Amino acid sequence: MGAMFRSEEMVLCQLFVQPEAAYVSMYELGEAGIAQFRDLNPHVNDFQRRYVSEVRRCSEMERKLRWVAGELPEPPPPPKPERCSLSPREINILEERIDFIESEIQEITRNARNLKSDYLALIELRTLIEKMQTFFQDHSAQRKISASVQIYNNDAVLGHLGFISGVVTTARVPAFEKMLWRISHGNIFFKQAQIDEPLKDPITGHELQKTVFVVFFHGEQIKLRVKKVCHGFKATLYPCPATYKDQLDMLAGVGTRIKDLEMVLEQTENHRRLVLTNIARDISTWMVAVRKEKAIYHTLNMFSMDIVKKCLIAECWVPRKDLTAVQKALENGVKASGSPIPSILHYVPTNEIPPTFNRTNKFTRGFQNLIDSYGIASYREVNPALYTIITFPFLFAVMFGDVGHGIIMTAFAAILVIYEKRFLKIKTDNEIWNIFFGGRYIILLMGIFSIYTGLIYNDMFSKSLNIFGTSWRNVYEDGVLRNHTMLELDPKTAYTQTPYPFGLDPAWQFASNNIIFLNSFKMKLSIIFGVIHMAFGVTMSVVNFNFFRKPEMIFLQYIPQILFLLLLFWYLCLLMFMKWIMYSAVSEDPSLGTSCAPSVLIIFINMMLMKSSEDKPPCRAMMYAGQNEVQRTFLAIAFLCIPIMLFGKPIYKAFLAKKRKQYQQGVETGEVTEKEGHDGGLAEELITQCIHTIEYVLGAVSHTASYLRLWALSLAHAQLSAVLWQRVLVMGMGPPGVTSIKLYIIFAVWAFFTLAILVLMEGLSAFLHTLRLHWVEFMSKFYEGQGYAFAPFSFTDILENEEDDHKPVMETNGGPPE
Amino acid sequence: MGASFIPITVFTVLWGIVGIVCPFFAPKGPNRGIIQVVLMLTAATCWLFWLCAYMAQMNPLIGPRLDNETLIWMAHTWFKQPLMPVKGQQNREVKLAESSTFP
Amino acid sequence: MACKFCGPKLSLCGLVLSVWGIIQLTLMGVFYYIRAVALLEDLPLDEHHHSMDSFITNVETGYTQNAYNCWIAALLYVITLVVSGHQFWMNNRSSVSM
Repeated sequence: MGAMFRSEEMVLCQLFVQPEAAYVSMYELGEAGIAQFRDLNPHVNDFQRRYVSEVRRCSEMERKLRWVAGELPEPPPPPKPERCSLSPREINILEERIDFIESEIQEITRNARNLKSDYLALIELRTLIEKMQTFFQDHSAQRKISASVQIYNNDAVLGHLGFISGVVTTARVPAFEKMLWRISHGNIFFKQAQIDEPLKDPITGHELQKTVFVVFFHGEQIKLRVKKVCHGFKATLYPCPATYKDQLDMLAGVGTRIKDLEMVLEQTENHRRLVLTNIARDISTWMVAVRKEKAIYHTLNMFSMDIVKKCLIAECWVPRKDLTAVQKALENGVKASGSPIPSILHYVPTNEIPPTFNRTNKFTRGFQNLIDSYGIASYREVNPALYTIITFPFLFAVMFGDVGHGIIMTAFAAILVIYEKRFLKIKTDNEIWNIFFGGRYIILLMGIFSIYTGLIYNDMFSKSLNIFGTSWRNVYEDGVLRNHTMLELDPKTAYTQTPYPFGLDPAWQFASNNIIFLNSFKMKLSIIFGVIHMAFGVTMSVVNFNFFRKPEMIFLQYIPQILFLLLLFWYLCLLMFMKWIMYSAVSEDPSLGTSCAPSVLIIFINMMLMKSSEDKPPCRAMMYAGQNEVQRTFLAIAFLCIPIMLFGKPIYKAFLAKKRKQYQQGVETGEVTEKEGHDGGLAEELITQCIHTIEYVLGAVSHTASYLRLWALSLAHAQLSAVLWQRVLVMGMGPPGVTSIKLYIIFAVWAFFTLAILVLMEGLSAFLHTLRLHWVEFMSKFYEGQGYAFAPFSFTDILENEEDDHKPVMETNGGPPE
Repeated sequence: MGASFIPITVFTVLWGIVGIVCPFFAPKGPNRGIIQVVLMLTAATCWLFWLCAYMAQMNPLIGPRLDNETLIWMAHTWFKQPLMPVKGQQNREVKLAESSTFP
Repeated sequence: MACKFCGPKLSLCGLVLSVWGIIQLTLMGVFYYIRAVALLEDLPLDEHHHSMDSFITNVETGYTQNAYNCWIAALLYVITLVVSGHQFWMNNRSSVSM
């Protein structure tokens, strides 16, 4: 039955590996992803394990690499697909290289920063001098000052006025000025000018608004005070020559220095870019190597040492099919290390429940996920995902049946499937997109089945296709046609007696009573498929009983259950089929005519209530002779099944226990295998069984009714799409001309609502109802779902998860500093 | 009995081929079983679905109730019936009558 | 780019809508043209007809009119397709060149 029928057989293996060989072996196992290791030192603290230093080293390298990656101007290209493990020597080299690169980049960054602050200072100085020149020149009154200053500067002893110039943040200027005023009791002259072009902070890269100022004062004491204030306000002071000529000289000097610095800065930037581009190609590959390394040591930490500390002991779950691969990995490890002692693998018999592992491919994974989100299957029990591949899209399509909507859905999924490789490369965090993309094969099948069911329902955007020619004909004369607005075609005369060969007759689309017809058809359909689906589920339990060597359960549980279901509910379905075949508008026997057609539901209810109804000539109360007797028998058998379900298993167990006891007494073995120790006794067993039985019996009724959701949703879908067509799209119909533009717009509106409401919303609701039908109605009949998933040591999983974990970190690590 | 032989045979054989013959020719490999199950289930569900729709219409107990305009147009295009003008009633309007049903 | 006026998402949306519109409106036009009964309900018909023949002619003109109406709307969608296709191409090109 293929790979998906039940989960794979798992073996608990014990590995004895030489520490030298362990690394390579683990690398191969990690690539293959086939072994789930168990932690053999659960009580040992993380920091006391054997390979802590290696793990820490790897973490350090990872951190550095992440930092370097953050420095890159653009995200690094994806890693090269390299499939070779790094030897410890290579790792050392890599570590050195990473260290070197990190320090180099750090140094370059630091240098660039220093250069930039120098550059900033020079720029500030240049602007300062330029502004100063205007200060000194602009006003005739200031000539005096300037003269005094010259005197002051020329001869310090004689001095009258001194001045200090500098640059301060614009926001602080008012406070700064006030403070200067205060400390000098008004004996200063303050002049300021804002620097027009904003400067960039070399460290943060933010823009700075600064203002040039100059303070004139008198006396040495005030000078000290002013300096202190400047210091307090974090103003940068620059020496500025007082004479115009000196200023010009200085300006020229500053200009050349700025030019030099610009050149140096550019060179530094180029060098930095060179270094970064050199490593950009490799950085992802290194990252992968380092992460793999870390994962390997992390796993090695779970191993225990033998007493003489000569070899590592590991325990792992491995699928039986992959044992040879594990063996091969071990051998390769030994070969690579050159150690003379081979690694040993042997199986450990255990009572523990192994993990559940279903091998999936890209097609089956989506379906397996649907099942797994309900509960991981118990080890080796029947996996419903196999049947879900078809039953899920089919039941969905019963509710969603519409050719047009099916085509839209199929087209969408087909694009996802055809271009899946391209889409796989674009990894996004968009959760909705990921859900759709993950379920692309489910959506594709749902779409295809919707087209089929749509064809059967003969429904395309609520319009019918008359492909094979309707089987109804007009029997009315012209006059009658004109005198009556509503005419009902009589099946006796107007029906050609050959049904429309595929799907529903297109004549029903226009009928004002089509709901009556559709309801009766779709309800019966729902019940028929529901009962078959449930019977299928109950029958699945036989496979489980067979496999787990519980043949008695087939008689004690399966047969009563299936009898109960079939005798009552499949009988109901049979009655429906009989009604379809037996009763006809053209039958000669009046008791099989239109007026005598019984309601199947009422017959069924009467059967349950054991009521017998009277004949009302020409109709008969029953559909066939002896029906009453047959029904009574069925009912009796069905109800007899209940006590078997209820008491069968507990009595059997009690009987078994008694027999075993007798046997033990007979043999008189000294050791008592007290394995059946859970002596809850008969009472507890009875209570559980009672709950199960009630659940099943009530479930049979309620679950059958629950399948009516197939009818309800498909009806709602058909009605909604009809309303949308009649209320929206028809608005655009009319003679060509202006209405064409109206149609152009109306069509867009109609398309939007079709997509949003009918395909997306209705599709989602049908999806959820289908999910429920599978989880509750189908799987409750046989599925335990008590297992735990197989989580192998696999690099692909680890790398994917880590990427998710680190993404936000990478982002906050942030933009490259300027 | 309103069943006719051809459609039943055609669709049964069609889905029979899909569900019974095709599984034998499923490509060999680890997924052979899955493909077989998929084919068989598809055929079974689709066939049963078609069958239900077919049987539900085999012996109709009610007929569609139609608007007279629709019926006239259906008669005109689908059934290719010649219109049967009745003398003396030609001047009466189609929508004149009250919404009475017939029969 | 002076003539780039919608972003990648809008142009893709326009592309999909116009492809859908062209296919469906053309087909609907065809079905109207061959007088498909299923579409009879959509015709804007007069309430009263004096004779069967006038009713038939009325219906037929209604069908023909709707057919042309649909085809013209389909043509409008062809224009939309061209415009949004151009926009889409522009967006793609600019994103590649960057």
